[in-house]
Amino acid sequence: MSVVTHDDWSLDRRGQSAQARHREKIKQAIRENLADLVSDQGIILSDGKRTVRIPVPTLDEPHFRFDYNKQQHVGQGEGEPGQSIGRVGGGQGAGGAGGQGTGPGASGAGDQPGEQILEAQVSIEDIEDALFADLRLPNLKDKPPVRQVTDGVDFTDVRPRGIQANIDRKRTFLQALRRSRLAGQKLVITKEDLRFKTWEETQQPGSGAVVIAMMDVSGSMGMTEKYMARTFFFWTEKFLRRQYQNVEIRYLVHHAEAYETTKEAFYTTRENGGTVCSTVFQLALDLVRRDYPSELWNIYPLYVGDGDNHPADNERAVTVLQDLCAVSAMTGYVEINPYNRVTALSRHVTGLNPAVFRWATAGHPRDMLKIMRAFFRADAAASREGA
Amino acid sequence: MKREEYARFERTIAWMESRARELGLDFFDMRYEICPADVVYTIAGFGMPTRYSHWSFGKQYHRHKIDYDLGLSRIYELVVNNDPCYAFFLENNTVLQNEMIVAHVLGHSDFFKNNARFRCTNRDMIDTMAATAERFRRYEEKYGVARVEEVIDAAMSIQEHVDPSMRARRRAMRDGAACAHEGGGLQEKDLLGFLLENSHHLEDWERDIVAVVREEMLYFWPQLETKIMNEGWATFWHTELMREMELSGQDAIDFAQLTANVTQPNRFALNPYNVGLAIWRDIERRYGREKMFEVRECESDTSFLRNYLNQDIVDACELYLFERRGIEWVIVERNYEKIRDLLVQQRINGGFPVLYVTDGDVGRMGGLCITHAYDGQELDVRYIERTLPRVYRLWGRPVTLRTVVDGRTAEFRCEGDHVLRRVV
Repeated sequence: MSVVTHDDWSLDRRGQSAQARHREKIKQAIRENLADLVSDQGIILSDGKRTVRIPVPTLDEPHFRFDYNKQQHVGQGEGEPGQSIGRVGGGQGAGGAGGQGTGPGASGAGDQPGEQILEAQVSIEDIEDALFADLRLPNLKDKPPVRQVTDGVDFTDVRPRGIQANIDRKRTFLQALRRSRLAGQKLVITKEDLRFKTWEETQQPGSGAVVIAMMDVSGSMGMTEKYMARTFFFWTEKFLRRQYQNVEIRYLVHHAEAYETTKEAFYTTRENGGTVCSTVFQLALDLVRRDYPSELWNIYPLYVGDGDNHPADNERAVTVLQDLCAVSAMTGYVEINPYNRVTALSRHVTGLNPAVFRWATAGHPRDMLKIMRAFFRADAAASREGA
Repeated sequence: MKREEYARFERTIAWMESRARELGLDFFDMRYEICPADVVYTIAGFGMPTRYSHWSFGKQYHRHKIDYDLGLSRIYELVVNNDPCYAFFLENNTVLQNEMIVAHVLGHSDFFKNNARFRCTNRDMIDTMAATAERFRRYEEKYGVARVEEVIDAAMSIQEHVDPSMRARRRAMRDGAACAHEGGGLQEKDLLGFLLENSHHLEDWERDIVAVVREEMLYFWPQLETKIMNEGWATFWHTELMREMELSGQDAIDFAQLTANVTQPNRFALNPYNVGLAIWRDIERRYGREKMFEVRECESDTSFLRNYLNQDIVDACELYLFERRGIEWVIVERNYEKIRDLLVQQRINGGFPVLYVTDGDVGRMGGLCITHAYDGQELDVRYIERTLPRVYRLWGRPVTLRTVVDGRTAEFRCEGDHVLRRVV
């Protein structure tokens, strides 16, 4: 005796809701690992990639299990003993066997070679969501929308002739109705009733932000320091892109003198010589005055250095920084300082207007998360965040 | 399947069921449910149509769904060991696919009903699970989703550590008790059962969750230990029945293609459809049909492989052993005895490490000691360190695991979140 049924299952959401819970767990894992994720090389260097594999141990169900790598296994196919069938972690072998399944099978998940069990595929967007949820733009001001223009299309007019795809059905029908009623006829749509939407190209005002990335390239700034700087600018740019349609980055470096450079050179240049910070601040100020009038642009000068400066230059550096603060939405000063020394420059800058000027010290790439949080905070209180 | 094809489908079912009975199959009453892809993947993710909800099921569901959406693989059918026996079909299967699946699930249903390993399984599991899901929902309302999830997570982390032996099952059915300590030192394989009876740390509702996880594992266990036999058996009968259908041109081609898909070998794993079918065919050729029914009644995968895998089958299925050498996976063996012995060994205890509770009151301080019955295969240390805290969650006092790491006896001790390791 058998029964065939074809029920309506449209209200069954168990799969989706359990999946939603899994997604929540992923997000939680991201939040817990955010400091590592933010400083993860894979993400920073993979410009443009949308997903990354990150270690998320909590998402794999723990069990007492054998060490897969130390065991022999059975497979099927051609090949002589001694022949390789794939590389460890090469992403092969996934997919399991056959198409059908007797259903349950409470175990065995993920023990094919090539599957990194402790890692999960996470989209950069998820990381951004978690990171940016905590970040706020300080001193967000509306700039009069002048310079930035975006091409847009607006349907502004209705005409009796046009492209079939743009037919305005409501107006066509109303016209037909009106005409037929006036003439006392049955409702018929004639060619004369047709109405088409037409458009105008519009110029919409946009808003823009510019990041002025400044870095000390004297001998003391090594690979780690530059990597930290890169991490910082990478996320800053991503964050600003959320708020502004147009984000520009200018790269300035300095030792005893300052000059503008390309992105690539910014992270690779290394020079010797003295350190005179005021030069780069002055260069930034000149750049702002020339290219980015502060009434039109949101300006974010950000400096990364190790706090060493020529003793005679400190006064001047602070004065120029002050001018820079006056035109910027936020000025950031990051001191890479693994040993927590009190440097001459840091003593001088603490007096600057805390509403605009924010500074932090970093000893490790993981600190970048704290610094992002310290810098991108809506309130102006306590501008210093030691790390 | 189109509306107008339902009549053909129902005719085929009637013919197939009567023909299968003539051939000797003895199955439960059947319920064939045709559902949308989402529902089939939900059931596959959850393992059962009425099970409680857990994020790991959502993970599985999502994995199946992605594979389906990308066209990588699809689950044609799901069948549940229950009386009546439920089979779920994808609604956009063709009528031919569904006919083949009917033949296939009749094989499974016969196997569930007659194989000795399934004798002690709960045949009302669908109803039992529905009631459980309802209870868990109430726990979630009362104690919060997070707390309930934490206990399910903890119990699931050791769900394989039950005692599925027929002796223990019958004893449990008779006495209603999970475990008994007999003579000599304590050596209890049923870790979940031991925690259930002896943990002073669990509240009643938490105990209920642990008991459910344990019962469900005991229900699934026979499927784990008869995977090759069961899939091979179902595939054997679906080919027999379909052959008698005298398929016309296109249907015959579709059928051949479908069977080829299902039995396609995999470089990194044994395909139970492929190897199971080959062994059953070999048994039929050598010993006849009557013997096949005897084997399906008495054996499980370990004895099935030990008794009937031979070099002919190994050659025909192109089976090999492979292992890791440096950064490569390398074929190392084609000899059937070596392959057979490894397959059998890997199926001992369902392929899970054998653990015993060897002390339930360590140092008279209430500590729990678990000993791994080391047989040459070492445990994955990273997993030990993440699993022990979950056992601690259920026991509430220090938990120790004794095993062998890199050839030396080692102890892992957990008193909360941290796991300490020392070489003994």
